[in-house]
Amino acid sequence: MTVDAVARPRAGQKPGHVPGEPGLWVLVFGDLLVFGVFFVMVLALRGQDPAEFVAAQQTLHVEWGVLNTIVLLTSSLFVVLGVRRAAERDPRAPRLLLAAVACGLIFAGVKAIEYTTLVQDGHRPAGDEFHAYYFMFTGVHLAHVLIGMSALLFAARLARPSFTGTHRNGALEGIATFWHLVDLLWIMLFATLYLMH
Amino acid sequence: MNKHLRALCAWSGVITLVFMFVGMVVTGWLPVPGPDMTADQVAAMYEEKHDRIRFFSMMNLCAAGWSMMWFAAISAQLRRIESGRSPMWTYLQLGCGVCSSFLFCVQALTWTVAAFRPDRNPEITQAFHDMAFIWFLMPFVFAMVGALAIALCILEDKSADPVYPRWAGYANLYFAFGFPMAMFLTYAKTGPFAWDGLWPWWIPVVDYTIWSFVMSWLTHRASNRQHAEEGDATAIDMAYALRSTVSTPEPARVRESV
Repeated sequence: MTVDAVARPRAGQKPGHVPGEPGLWVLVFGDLLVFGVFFVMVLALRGQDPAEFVAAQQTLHVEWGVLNTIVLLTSSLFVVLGVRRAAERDPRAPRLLLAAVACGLIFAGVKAIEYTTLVQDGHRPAGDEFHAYYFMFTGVHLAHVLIGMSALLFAARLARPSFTGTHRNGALEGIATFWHLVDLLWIMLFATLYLMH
Repeated sequence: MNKHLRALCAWSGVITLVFMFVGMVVTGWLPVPGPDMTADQVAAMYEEKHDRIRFFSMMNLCAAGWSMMWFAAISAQLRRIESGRSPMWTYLQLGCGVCSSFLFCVQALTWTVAAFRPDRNPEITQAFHDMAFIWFLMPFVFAMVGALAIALCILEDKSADPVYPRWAGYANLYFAFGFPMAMFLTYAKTGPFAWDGLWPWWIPVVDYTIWSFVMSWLTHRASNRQHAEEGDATAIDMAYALRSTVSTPEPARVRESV
């Protein structure tokens, strides 16, 4: 997974420590850039007609959004604890990472309920621009969640105390970093689409 | 293969872009016409730009040919990363490259079909015009899966002297993420989700442009290093050189009879 030139196995945190490996941050900042553009576009949409924007926003179910925010924040906590315990060769580490995957599944289930409800209420991606943004960007984010869950399953295998690989901790940190990015993107989406009045 | 030919193949990603860019500028299709035009407006546009659109079509055919060389050049470098094991990522990337180039050809031909008979029913011209643009922008999957194959191959490179730098693996993951935005065009005729809007047009096109430059440059660098190692050796010379270092008399590909 990783290469000598970049990731060294690290015992503890040192000043100047880059989580995962430096190359990973190309992906992280690139992703944030695209979602940043999305954020600006939604702000512009709201600026065009604030009343219409808020009316479209009222069709979303804030309670499901709040639940999903809590679910993802909890999953991030599991990931932090799991990676820390994996570094200590604690046998409970894989279990914590699998708990984070379970949170991801709950998140996807809640999104499925939300999509179904919205479509039944007559709101579709091909409808008004607010709902186009809603469906497309929560969809793009959901794809991130699914990719992150696959990576966490791989991480759960790495986290076993018996796993002997040189770059185990670097890879675990990289996957954790990606999961926190997914979490951060959701908070951006949630604030923009559900809460911004 | 000699050094200059290798460099030409490596930079053909950028040459592809140049052909497309020239075609677009000459046709006056930068930015592209949007999907909100009526059939009569489309027919009038084809009447007016009759020769330019056919020129654009030819430029796109040239671009398709060059892109094939580029995908092959990248595959050749991935093959070096995967030497000695099953070259799955190489095949995947090459397969995606073949499909991308083929679709380049198809959309170019569709513009020719649309421009071929200016005197026909405008709605037929509009249908072919829609088809060309949708074939041009929407089949993001090949670029996406190709970029993912490149990314995973680079991240699996465990050698002390990797063919591509590691950050390029992560950069390809990011490029792969930019292409699916083209999917959005299926839902809109106007605004940022239409095929001339921010998400289906500007983001994937800028993404593809940066990808072409970055991967051309890195492939050129990698093939230069390969040249320094191998010189102008042909594949057959290389095979004999390898054979002489291996003790088995038969080629490795011959399977034992069961």
